[in-house]
Amino acid sequence: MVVLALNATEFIGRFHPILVHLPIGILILAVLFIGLSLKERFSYLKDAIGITLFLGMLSAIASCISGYLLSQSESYDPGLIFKHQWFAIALAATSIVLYVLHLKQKQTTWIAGLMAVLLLITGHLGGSITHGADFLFKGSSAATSRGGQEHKPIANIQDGAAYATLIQPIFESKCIACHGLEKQKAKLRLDDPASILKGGEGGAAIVAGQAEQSNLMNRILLAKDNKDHMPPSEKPQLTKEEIDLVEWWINGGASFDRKVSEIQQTEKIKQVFKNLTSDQSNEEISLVDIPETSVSKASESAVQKLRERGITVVPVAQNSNYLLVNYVAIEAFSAKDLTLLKAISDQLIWLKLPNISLTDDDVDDLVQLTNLTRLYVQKTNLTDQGIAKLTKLSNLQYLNLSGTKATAKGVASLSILKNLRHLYLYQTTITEDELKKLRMEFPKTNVDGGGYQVPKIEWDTAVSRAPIVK
Amino acid sequence: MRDDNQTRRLIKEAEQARLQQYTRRHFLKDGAMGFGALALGSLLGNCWGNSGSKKLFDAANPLAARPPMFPGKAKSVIYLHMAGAPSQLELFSYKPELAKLDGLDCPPSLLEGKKFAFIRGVPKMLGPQAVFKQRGESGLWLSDNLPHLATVADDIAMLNAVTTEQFNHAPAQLLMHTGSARLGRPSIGSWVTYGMGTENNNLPGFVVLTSGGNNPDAGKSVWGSGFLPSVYQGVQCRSEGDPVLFIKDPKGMDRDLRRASIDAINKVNQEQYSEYNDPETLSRIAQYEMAYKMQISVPDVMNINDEPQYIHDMYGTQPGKTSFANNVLLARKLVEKGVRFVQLYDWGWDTHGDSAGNAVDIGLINKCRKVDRPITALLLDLKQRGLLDETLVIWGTEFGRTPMQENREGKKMPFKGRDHHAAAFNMWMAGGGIKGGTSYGVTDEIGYNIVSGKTEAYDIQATILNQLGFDHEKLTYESQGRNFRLTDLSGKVIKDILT
Amino acid sequence: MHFLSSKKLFVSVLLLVGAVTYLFFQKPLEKIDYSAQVKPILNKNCISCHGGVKQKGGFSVLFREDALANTKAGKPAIIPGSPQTSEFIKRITSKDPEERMPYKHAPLSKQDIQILTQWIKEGAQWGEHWAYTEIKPEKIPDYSSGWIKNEIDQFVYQKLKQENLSPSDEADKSILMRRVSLDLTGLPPAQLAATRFLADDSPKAYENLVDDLLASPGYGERWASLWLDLARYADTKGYEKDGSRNIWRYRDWLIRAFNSDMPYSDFIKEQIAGDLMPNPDDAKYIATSFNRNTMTNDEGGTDDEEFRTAAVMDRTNTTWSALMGTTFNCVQCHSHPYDPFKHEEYYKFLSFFNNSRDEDVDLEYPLLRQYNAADSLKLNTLVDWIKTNASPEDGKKYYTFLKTWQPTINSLQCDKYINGAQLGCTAGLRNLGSCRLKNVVLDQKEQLTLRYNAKLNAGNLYIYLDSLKGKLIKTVALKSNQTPFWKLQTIDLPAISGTHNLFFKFHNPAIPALDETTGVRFDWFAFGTKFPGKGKPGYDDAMKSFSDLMEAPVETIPVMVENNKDQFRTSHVFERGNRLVEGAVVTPGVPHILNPMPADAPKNRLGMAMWLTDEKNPLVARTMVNRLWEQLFGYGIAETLEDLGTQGIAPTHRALLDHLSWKFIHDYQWSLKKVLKEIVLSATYRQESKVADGLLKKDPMNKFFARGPRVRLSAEQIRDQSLAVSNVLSSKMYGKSVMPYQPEGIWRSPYSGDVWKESQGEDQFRRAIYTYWKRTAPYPSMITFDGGAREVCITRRIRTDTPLQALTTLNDSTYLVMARYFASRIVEVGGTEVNQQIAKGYELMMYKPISKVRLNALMELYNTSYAKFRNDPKASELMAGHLEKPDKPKAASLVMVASALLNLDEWLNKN
Repeated sequence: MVVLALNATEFIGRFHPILVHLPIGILILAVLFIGLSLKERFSYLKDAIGITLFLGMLSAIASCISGYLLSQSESYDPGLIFKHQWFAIALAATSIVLYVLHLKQKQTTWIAGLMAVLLLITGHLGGSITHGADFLFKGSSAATSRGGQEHKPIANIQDGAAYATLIQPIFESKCIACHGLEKQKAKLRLDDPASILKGGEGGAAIVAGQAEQSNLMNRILLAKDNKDHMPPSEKPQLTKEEIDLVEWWINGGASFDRKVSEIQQTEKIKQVFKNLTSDQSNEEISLVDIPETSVSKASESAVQKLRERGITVVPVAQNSNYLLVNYVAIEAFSAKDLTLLKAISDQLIWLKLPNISLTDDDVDDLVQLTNLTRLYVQKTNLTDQGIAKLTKLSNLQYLNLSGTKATAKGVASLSILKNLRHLYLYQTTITEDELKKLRMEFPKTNVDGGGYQVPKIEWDTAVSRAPIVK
Repeated sequence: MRDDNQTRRLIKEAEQARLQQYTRRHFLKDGAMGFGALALGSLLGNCWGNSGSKKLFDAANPLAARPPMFPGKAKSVIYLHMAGAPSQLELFSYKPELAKLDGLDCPPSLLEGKKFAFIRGVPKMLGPQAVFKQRGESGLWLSDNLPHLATVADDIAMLNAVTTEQFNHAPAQLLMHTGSARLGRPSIGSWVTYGMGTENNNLPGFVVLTSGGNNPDAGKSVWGSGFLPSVYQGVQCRSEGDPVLFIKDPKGMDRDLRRASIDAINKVNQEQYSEYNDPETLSRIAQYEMAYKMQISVPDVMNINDEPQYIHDMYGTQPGKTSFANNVLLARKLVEKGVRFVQLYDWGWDTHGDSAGNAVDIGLINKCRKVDRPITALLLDLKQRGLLDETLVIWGTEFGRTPMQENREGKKMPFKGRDHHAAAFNMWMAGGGIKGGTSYGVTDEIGYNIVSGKTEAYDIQATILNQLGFDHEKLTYESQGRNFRLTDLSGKVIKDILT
Repeated sequence: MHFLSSKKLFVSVLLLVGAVTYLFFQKPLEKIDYSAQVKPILNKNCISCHGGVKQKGGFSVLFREDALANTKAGKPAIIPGSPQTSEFIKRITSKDPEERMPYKHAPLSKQDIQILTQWIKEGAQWGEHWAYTEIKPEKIPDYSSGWIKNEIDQFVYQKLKQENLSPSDEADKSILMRRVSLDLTGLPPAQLAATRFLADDSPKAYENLVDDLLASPGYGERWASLWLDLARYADTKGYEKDGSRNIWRYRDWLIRAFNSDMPYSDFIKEQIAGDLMPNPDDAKYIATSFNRNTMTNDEGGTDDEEFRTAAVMDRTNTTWSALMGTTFNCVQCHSHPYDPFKHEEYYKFLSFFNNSRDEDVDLEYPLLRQYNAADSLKLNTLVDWIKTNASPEDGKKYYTFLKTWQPTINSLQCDKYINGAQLGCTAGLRNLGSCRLKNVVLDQKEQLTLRYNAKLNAGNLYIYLDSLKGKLIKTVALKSNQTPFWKLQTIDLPAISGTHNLFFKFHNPAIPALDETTGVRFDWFAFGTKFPGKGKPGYDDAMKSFSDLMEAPVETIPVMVENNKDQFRTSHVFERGNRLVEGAVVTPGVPHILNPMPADAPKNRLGMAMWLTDEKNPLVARTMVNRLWEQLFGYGIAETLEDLGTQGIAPTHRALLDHLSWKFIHDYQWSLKKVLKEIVLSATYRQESKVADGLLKKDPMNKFFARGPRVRLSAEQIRDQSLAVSNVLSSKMYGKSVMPYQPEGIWRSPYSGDVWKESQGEDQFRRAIYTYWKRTAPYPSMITFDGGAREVCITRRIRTDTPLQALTTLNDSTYLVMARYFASRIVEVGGTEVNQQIAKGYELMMYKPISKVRLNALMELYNTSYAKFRNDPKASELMAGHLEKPDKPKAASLVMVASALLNLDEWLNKN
């Protein structure tokens, strides 16, 4: 029994992130009511103030309790927690005072104003705990927090200041969460030049001109399973390019103002720059083309209907709601089977319809699937007429038209698909010359017409034998 | 410069040894490797689970497609294993310095502390028996023994410094495919089908094709399911007899009758279900339906007769025969149909030099002729079908061969052959998110030891799983109260060869 | 809104909030239960860094003595009774992320911390895991219900009540009869017995049936099948060419042991240490083949010591997983991460096995030599003669030597080859070649017996003492005849004392000096004393008998034989499991956490077997009872048969498991039949297996036994029952493994000429247990129905349901043939009308009349088939095969129906 109650502690704590929205909403409403009811026109709102305040107060108290429980069972930045906790308690107390005052029909306007301010501060602090301190003002640079190859192409790299354009963003995205303003693990800060030069507990972080002597560099280069490795193994890691950049910058004197062009450049780093300046390298390889925005889960019944037809429906990854659908095992395909896809059009991004009797008319169903990034319609009955309709699928990155009746003219109409990276035209009537022209029209696309052969050579049919010894 | 010195030193050492003349024999037991070192890894692995992971196994529909952990680049794998260990020194490992040592006694430093399968005493060094050239834009070194493959060198990522601890075929093959040199662990194909299921329920998820006249030395264990449910073991498709065991109806029964019999069985089972309410009965009904469909789809996909002539020319296939080429074409067809993992074994690469067929300058070349064209065709054919990007192709084997000529029982062999060599050999990968034209790892100038880029079986396994969208440390199965994984305690994804 | 102004309500809401808050921070008052509360927290959060594998900071929570010892910081982390001064508690509550434990993981929850704090306050006692404590008699729950039939039901009923479930009614007689028959004998009930039981309404009817089944020979075959998985039995050796191994007599030993209801304690004792029991007969030797089912690696160029060690480890692991449900293999590299077994204890236990004579040689020595009747008689006479004329010890010694050729030294032990080499597992010398046999104890060794093969015109063998330049102690003229291939030769040695290296040099002047062919190959050497009783009457005859028996052609089987003192191997701990890094020397012993070795037990395998079967051993009886339960119900009382330790799935009815285990040892004196009888007589077992939706949802796996077991039959049962109902099952027992029909091309082992040679006659239709088992290519239908390859001990088969199973029973020729025989049986006994015949067929299978729906479905199949076959004589011929009656098309149509019957879900399951 006791254990059960204790389990409930954690359980209730988990509700905090949901619960907190109640006092925010309700108390703001109460403040609004209080303010509005001052005007004659809205005086009828007065009657609602009591219940609103009461509910707001209760929810504030509940949020305080659940918040306290949560803080005990999970680890958060203790500084932020401290502030958030006491502002929240102040807020709850104010709401109680406000409610009591309201019951006694005393003047409440100023207290309400105070509460609104407290509400804003508490809410912001709460948001900072879960989303990071600069959550509010950071804008939409979501990519930086995710790690991986996030560099946007940089137009003129050589003219930029090396630190500001190349190094600072790396520190910001990979280091300052723990070595910044809020936390200074090992007393090291990497968020401004002075602190970087100062180093931390372990002495200087960098030795200008000598990357291999620099503690910072060594920590980055340690094996990931080493406990001294940085960033800690569970955190986003520096990419190879980022490591190269930091190394180059330190070796180049770790200057905070010199331009890129003013620092000596090795072949290796030139290659890195090349990659940074073009978006080519990253995009060409990336067939892992899952939209960044998340999507709700597909309807279970819609998925079930597809599966009953022998159609494979599977999320593209365990934590994603985006779907891959494959018709390869379907028995007796009919146009009806495509209408089943409509219910999952938000989630469907990869669709395989190989080797089925798909016609141009069926494309009308397909073009409603606007999230599609990969479409496999090889060995179907599509002609130019149907292919022309595919231009509506503006997100397409991969399109396989092998073995269809596509002609060069029909395919050319697809050139408005700006995201298209792979286009397969094997076993169509398109000629080698036409392919050449198409490649001009699709400068960013790998247009593959296939038809490869392995030539016959004399070696193939020769047989090696042991020399005859007499 | 340094290389030259090294070579000179080796030659000098070799001459000294020769001057001593006496047939000194080294019987050095128990090199630093072998069972013991392996046991460490494999057993720590057994006992070291993270108890939080849940089983993927769903008894009612064990092969249903399942999402990978993260969106992988590859959807399917074609794994070409040359059973018997082809000589890397005649195919991929360009060692001009070794030619200079040809015919000299092996320097003692190479023999100290080493144990060989067949070499006894002091063997002679054997220079490369092939001509090497740089190929493609990437300048990858390939020998003239693979002239066609040389034309697609830019699609290949070469692993130059693969190493293993096993120098006998069966344990080494087991290690490469199951992560353990001892029997009883699931094979990589089983792990993958356990993790991902299949996108085509009418075909097995994990298909095995063998050529060369024999099964691999480790037998069916290299595609066994170990402690995973047996449904995940590889299904051996054969080119003679039934393509899959028992897929053909008995003689005298046509499809209508089979349909009628399955209808009757399922009707009775349906009534059985209404009586007992056991969900297993519903599963059985579904399995019989699936069996019926497999009976059509398996022979269909296993039939290469309908492929156009230019495809046969391209692969060098001859319908009706058992050959590696036929198997390669089948692999392409299977992958096209959504089969998850196709494993090919070609037996007969054990070039000891005890016969012409086993000589590195005769038999090996004939063997190359049988695989060079089909493998090249496979890469090109997958590419033109838009499948190479999502199909990971691996060319591999269980270990390499010595830069010394084999002298079995201390005798001179009738032909040029090389003994088993575990310390350094080559494998390559292509497609499925692999960066073509890359070369990873370096061995010394005679291909004897690794200088950098050491690659173990676990690393290759980790890379394969990674390309499919799995963290090899997290794809686990609980057996005997512990969480097992394919890569035991080791395994690093070989990032340098990935796009 | 009015009520809101009520102050009372406001205050009461505040009070309520306060009360709830107070409750959250309430401290637990009951005493902490280590196993249930503390151990799971430690296992989940601490033990991966502070356990058996890693002891970060010098701290481990696996054992109390480690946890209370000084850590690297110089003081203990846990101070019993004083949580506030315990570093352990400080660290889990610390706010500093660098300090706080678990490091880099989410902190422990408040209640976990409370539990640990309270536990330290209460003295930080390490409790024992249930499976490691002695089995004690359990109090039988006192329930009365008309449903209850025996004590098992009391336990089950108690749990059902707790779970708010009620048991099911008894199954139909026909269903129960089929269930119990398949469970106990692996076969459906014989027709006669079935008729008798179904007609018998007496209260003892079911018990009589059970008694008959337990007494039938099929019982032994069914339970031996189970044991073969545990014993990793196979007819081949394993790796690469995977050659044959003659070990089927072990399988027959098992069948006989089960049928005679050999007490489980003896059953284990003989398998572990039959050879060490006084005056072992053939059967006791054969029992020890249990541990010779390990694999042998014949692949060229392997390190035999590596694979000998692997086999010894396998024996250790199998003893623990098969007999004691413990994942002891974990302790191979490090102390057990979760359970209280220490690294060193693995090697102490392993050393029980480390002194057996086998060495991974191709010929699989040591072998039991089984003489024919005449030679056996001769052997007895000879041994008697030696006993009378020399000494009883000599009699025993010569008996052992003639039966096992032990003690001998395998030529594998030779080294320092000059112009020679180890060839496979023999020592080969060319002309003028030599080799060394090291560390031979020569005290009181008067003779050397050699087993060798000399090509060409033999030549001489020179034996030198200590070096090639040392004293020539003997020149041996080798025998030159070509047959037999292996020759035995005994030579006298001069008296030498002490341990010496011997050098063997071979020379045959007839062979040209540079010839590279091998001159001589040695198999083994035996050093011993001269044949005793010289001068006694009958000496010459006895000598002759001896040498005849030495060379007599015999059948052999690999068995366990212990090293003699000359060949004793010292056992070491292998650091981190690596056999090449030897640690401390260990002597045989058992883990300290379990019962101690019995006082009279010797420190060898026999002593270990006595320890296993000591009534104080907590694991052996529990493991077997749990396994028997699993065989009958589909799941064990503890589901993880292979792991009863702290990471295994906890038993659903622990008290019942202990109760049955106690009875197994004490009341039933280790009789398996008695335990099985008690279980199958319980109301729990007899329930019908139909399930309502509600119960299915609540207990999908039938863990609470509110219904009878319904599980798919094993690979063996499926084959055997179909053979039985088709009336072709051979009743022949025992003997060499057989090769029933198998498609072409399954065996393709490299370097092996072995082929699947189909057996003839009734051997085609033997029970599955007699099917030849090749490890690298097992019989297809066995594998398809979840059998394992038997490379290592299989503690549990995991059932699956796949289309390949359907294809097997639909299309495997074996099943087609069975369907034909079944159809012909139907025609014979089913009357004249087809519907009667089909109904009869169903009745033969299920012992109950067919339902209308079923009959209609099958009649429809018959009619569809007949419509086709009537017009297609060729197809009829192909389908009907040898059947002629009533006519080909009808017969063919009935084969279709019979085949469908053999594929029914209710047939493939026990219901």
